[in-house]
Amino acid sequence: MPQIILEHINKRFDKFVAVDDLNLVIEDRGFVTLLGPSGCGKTTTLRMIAGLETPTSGRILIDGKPVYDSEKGINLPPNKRDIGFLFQNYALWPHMTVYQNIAFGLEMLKWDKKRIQERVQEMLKLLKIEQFVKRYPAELSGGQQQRVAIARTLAPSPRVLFMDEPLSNLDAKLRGEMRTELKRLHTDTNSTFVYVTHDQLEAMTLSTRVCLMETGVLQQYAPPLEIYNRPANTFVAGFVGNPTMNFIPARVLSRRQNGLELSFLGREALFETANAGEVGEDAILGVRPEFLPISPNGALEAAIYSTLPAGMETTVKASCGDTMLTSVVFGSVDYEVDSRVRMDIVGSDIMLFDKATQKAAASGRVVFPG
Amino acid sequence: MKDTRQDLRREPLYFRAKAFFSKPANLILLFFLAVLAALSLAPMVTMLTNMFKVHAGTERKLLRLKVGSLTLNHFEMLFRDYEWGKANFWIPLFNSLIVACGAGLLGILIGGTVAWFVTRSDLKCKKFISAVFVFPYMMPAWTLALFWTNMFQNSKVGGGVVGMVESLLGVCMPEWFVFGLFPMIVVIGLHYSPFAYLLIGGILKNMDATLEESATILKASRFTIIRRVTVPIIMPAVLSTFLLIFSSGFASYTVPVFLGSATRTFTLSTKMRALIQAGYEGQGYIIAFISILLGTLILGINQYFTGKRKSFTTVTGKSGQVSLVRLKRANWPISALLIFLTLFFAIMPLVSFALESVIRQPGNYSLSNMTLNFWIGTEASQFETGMPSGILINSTMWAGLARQVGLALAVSMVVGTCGMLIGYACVRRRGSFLSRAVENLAFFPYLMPAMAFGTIYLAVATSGGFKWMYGSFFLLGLVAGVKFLPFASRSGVNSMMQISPEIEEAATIFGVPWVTRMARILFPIQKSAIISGYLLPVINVMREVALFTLLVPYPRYLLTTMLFSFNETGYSQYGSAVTLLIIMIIIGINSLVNKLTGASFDKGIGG
Amino acid sequence: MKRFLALMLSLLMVCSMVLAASAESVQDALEAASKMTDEELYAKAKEEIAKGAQLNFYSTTSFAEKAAANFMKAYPELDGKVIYAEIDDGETYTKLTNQIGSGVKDSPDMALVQNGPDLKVNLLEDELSFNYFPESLMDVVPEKYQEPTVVTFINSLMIYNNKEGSVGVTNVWQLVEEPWKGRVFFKDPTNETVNLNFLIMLTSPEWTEKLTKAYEAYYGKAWESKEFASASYQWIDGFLKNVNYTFTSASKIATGIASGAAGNMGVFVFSKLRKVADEDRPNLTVLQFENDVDCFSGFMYNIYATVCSDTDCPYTCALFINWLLSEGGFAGEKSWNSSQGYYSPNTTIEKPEGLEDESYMYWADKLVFEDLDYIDGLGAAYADIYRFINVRVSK
Repeated sequence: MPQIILEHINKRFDKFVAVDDLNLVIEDRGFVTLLGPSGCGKTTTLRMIAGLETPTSGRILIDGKPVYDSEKGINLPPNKRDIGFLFQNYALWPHMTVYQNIAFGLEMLKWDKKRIQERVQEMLKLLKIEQFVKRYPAELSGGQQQRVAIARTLAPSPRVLFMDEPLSNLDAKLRGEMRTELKRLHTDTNSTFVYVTHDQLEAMTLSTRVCLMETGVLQQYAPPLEIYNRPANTFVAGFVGNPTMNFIPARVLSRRQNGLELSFLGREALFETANAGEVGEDAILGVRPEFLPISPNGALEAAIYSTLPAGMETTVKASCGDTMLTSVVFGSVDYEVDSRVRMDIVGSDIMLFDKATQKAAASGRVVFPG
Repeated sequence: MKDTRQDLRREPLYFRAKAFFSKPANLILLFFLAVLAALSLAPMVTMLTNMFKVHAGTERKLLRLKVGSLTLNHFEMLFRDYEWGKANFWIPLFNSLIVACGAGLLGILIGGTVAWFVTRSDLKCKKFISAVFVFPYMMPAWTLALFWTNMFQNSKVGGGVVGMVESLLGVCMPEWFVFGLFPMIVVIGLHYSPFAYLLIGGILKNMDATLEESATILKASRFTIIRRVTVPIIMPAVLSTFLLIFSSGFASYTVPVFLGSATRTFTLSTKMRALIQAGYEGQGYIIAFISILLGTLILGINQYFTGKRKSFTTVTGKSGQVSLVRLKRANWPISALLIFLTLFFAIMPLVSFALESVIRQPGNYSLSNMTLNFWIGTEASQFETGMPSGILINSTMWAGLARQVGLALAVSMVVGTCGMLIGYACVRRRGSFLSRAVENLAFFPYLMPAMAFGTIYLAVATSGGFKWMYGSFFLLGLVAGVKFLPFASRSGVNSMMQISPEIEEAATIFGVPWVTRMARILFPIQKSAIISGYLLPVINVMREVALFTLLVPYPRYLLTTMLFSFNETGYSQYGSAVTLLIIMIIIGINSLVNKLTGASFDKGIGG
Repeated sequence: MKRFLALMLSLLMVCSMVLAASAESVQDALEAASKMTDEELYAKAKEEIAKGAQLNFYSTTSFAEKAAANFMKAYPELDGKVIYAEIDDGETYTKLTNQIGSGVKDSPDMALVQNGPDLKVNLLEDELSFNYFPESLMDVVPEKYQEPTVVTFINSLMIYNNKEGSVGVTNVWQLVEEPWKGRVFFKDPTNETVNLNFLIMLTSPEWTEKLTKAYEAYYGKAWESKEFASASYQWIDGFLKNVNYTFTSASKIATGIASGAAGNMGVFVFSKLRKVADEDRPNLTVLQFENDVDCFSGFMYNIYATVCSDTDCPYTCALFINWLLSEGGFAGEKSWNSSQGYYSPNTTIEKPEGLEDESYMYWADKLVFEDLDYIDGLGAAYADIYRFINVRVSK
């Protein structure tokens, strides 16, 4: 079964380090997302696994078989790796019709004409593009091109499918639809998906595991909810989630049996945790906006800065001292600017980061005295 | 709701006219429509009437009719007299077609292959190859022809003069290799292969690499990808490159003169010249007219193909990092072969011309036979060697050089500016009738064989109210300007296509006047492409012969016509020296402009 | 509008009158000039120059430049006023017919041209140019070279590469035989009218007879053919089949044969031997100097002087033509007579010693002379002969 293993993968373009000592195991039938801001090395990683790019050093195994090994000098070309690749701009061949585009890969496999025809029909039906079979790519809309590209990639039934930001050229509505389709396809095709995106929502909603990268370094590799709830560092915490997590500067006053005594926003409170890791005197308290509700009896006092109602929920920004806090409130509420409100920190998924290393030190709940 | 289009239609004519004329693009188009119609259609009319007229010389002698009277005799001779027509039309036509096709295919094959290696593989010495590979295009085409005969003539063919290959290697090439259709194809094909290299290379460079990568992943082999993906995608560009080379090869005059005279291999253009020279001007014009018809047909074919729905002249896309094909063990042999080829066709001619210009007696390359007399000597007698002194201390040469450079600069200023304006106006009004008319008219002179063009302008300049032009610098400039406008307007259109109208509109909103918009916004953005548009006419004028031979007041008026007469009359050392000088000047101008502005003539072609 | 038209019409009339008047006066002036002495002409010429005229002339022979320089030395007040411009044979009549009477700046006042039939038909018959010949020289120049005026004869000779000894040609019919295939060098007659005229001359009764006799002498049987109209046509056909056109100019033929393969032969302008490098010169032999050839060993053509009908200095032209026909002009320093292969129609001028050349009289019965009257008199038959040659030249 195709399991993909990356061991100590490095990639340098001249002096620029694109990927730095990356280790990754992509499980069979997983839907793994490579997530990160532009230039973080995620596309390069994908292209290296596919064989379109050669790593500078390291080892890549697909299905237990080394496809790249810098020490042994192994480097299989892409066509020997049994994969599919969906490009960001679809890379449809402009001189071929939809049919010819989809059939191309099957012809390369030396299928007979009849089988090709059947398979193409099947793909056309699967992606609901039967009516465009005789058109040229230039005569299709973005979404239709996208479907043709997927059909072309899926036609030879690759066991691993690589996708490089396939939805970024689509408008918001189509993107939403295609997400659903992709997730469905993943189950239907029974294959491994590796997906590159810079859209954290896409990563969260689609994948079984997210690999978050920054400047060529792996930040965290975990299932989406773990990424969300237990971010490994402030970068991951800040990148994932919308609106962004609140980072509140805090001082560690003392360590207790059941947690840490903290001082922040002019208040002192107990950070109750069972797993306190290393943390210096300076720390950062990470609070998701949904754990910062506005409540009349809240421990913190803040002044409303602005209110952004979106119908289903409302994002409220309020300043507490010098710190701007973001809160998400269910339903549509409107606060007068500069009016004073009280806020609370609730739940047990509050993060504590060490300020010096920016790494997560603990997760737990904040208990205000009294 | 009101239909705004209805409103527009009901607007009084006055307002519509005002709106029309308030756009500079429209004014420019109207202006050029008028000027180009006069400059390229008027000669056409002259040519058409000349097909039915009796001319001085042989025609007058044969027909015993007054000069200028009407006759159908030219057509009758050419098309009703089988033996005459075969010798003077059909065989030359056949030869022209073979040469044009062969040169087109060879040019594409060589240029395309090199372009692929340079843009798509990890070939060694790419920089060197791509810099030197374009040299043959900067040299006058016939210098390569001259080089070819210098290299390969031998004691068994032609006059039995020993060339370099025989004297160094002792190999005698057969006649078909030295003279006739084969070397014509090779020389013209080589001359235009940089053209193919630049056009195809440009597309390969801009072509989204994922188009090929996606085929790789679908398990297509390298060869299959080239055959099924790369080639079809660049096909429209290849086809139009082929057609451009085809029509250039078809109209080529100087190369067939050098390589065909020995074996009496006429092409349509050498035949046209021969007929005109022998006094059969009417038939010469008929041939010129047919050449133009063929050229138009080719242009039509080109437009038909590039207009088809699956074509895509601009293949754009965010191309990621292009992964280069690893040539592995084949790398060094292929690099070495390409370096050898570029050296042979780009550097060797220079070396050979340098050598030929310092030997006293042709064919003898020993040190004792060498002299700098032809460069700086003073004792040479005019009647024995054609020049009173070596070319570097010779006032005739310097005067010719000064005129040529002056002509090149003047033509470049006018043509480059016109090309840019036409480009601007055509792109802004794209799709309108005016725009299409001007673009096609500006391209039209390309189809006229230079020889015919010169002849027609000679006729124009000696008739009616244009006599003041005859033999003047202005006439040369005018003819060169019209003839080289197609390249400049192409490059103008290409460079303006890259600028979106919003960029200009943003300035329009601030109330920036048109001239300022052009000078401060559009020009700086496309600076290097536009300067390349200016550079191209310079190079064209610096190496042009056929266009000027009939129009110069005397053969030594310009450097190139002087050179051509040197070579025709056999002063080969002076000829080689001047050739070398011209090539060095062209390369010098190109690299100087390149250094100063980043522009280069090849960018003008590549667009 | 009407007034404008009237103005244009009257302008046109004035112009044509001026043109007509000037044409008349050039002819008159030349008539008058032919009776004047050189001193009288010089005085007249000075008047013309004083009025701002200068003598621009075209020439197909470059020695004319030296002759003009010598002329200005002899007549110092004309210094700098006689301007030479070279012209290619092929474009001579296109340029002249277009320029004469066009009023274009610096248009020629006279020209030294080759190819008499073209001169006659294109210029003289249409009165675009006039002939001038001085009465003073009528006794020393044969009458047939007075109208139109010949200033020099030029010969093209059979010359071969002797590196492997003599080619042993004694009869022109040898040249149409197989061994000579590709070994006779000759300029394309459809491009070089004097070469064309040479071949046309062979069809004249005189040369047809000579060629027929030479045929009988060579083959030992009477000439007979269904294919060709005469022995001349057969010879032309055979000759053109053997011709090699590798070298496109007389100079190239000269140097090419000298440095090329042994046994090659060219029919080219004798004077071009001066272009051959000293080291190669011994390789060449002039066939005629080795043995007589049955029935010719080359041909002779003429350079004519003609005065353009719109000249503003007819007397200066007349004086210049007198000069060209005189010892000072023809045999002056570095002028025609200093080279092989140029002969003056003035019978008092002899070739100097030590030139490896002979007099005009020596060549008179050994070469095919261009006869203007024969070629011009061919009429419609010219087209047929031309066609016969043309289709044999192209491949």
